[in-house]
Amino acid sequence: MDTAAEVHERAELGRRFAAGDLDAFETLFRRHQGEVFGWIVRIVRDRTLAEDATIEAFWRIYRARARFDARREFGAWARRIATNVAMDALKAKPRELGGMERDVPAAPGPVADAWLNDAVRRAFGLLPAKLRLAANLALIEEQPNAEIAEALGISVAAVKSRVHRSIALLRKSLRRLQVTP
Amino acid sequence: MKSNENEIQEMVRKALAPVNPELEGDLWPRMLRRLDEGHARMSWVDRILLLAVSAGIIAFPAVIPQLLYQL
Repeated sequence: MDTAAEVHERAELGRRFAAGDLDAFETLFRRHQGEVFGWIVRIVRDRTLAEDATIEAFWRIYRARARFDARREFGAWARRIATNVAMDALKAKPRELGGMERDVPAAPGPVADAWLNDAVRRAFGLLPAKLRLAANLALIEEQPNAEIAEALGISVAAVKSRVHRSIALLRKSLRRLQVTP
Repeated sequence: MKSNENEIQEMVRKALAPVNPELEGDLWPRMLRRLDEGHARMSWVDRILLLAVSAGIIAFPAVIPQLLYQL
């Protein structure tokens, strides 16, 4: 539980940041950079890309400072912006795992683990960015649905629906490769 | 159906392990560079304004003393 002094300090810091105080921005950056990076890297699964996206997210945060409501939680606001940046990065990232139908040979007899993992990775890489983001956070990173929903600005039911659709698409792709779970 | 979903989740988790979410190092120096670049970049509105003012001064140099007086 936060003390009244801590709540006051956070609100004051938020006010200074919204007014354009660079020192306040630096304090917020240093406090939240790890959290923002951690969230982005879970989505894009590439550390270099995640570092670039973290800088881009904080740049957008800095530009939008006048719209920040100091009564709100900075971390949640930052995560929402970071999610948008990560989504843009996912869309821009070439689908290096794509081309499943062309590149992957038919499954030989008993499916070898390496072949299976490769097929799953490729199938996952073919998911649309929106579904990949939700599936990544829910299935692999096991983040709570409520947190994913808040970061995406959608309902928990919508998150569950996206994860469900991802699984259906994955199943379809894997079936085409004669992989049946 | 549910167990089938769990099996797919298991396959995904086996193929794509969770990433290490820890940040190594401080990104503030890079952020400072980004802020400097951002401030140095001029928006197209600013460029057009600057161009218009420059063109005005070249076309009507007599306004320079008036402008200086206003400053």
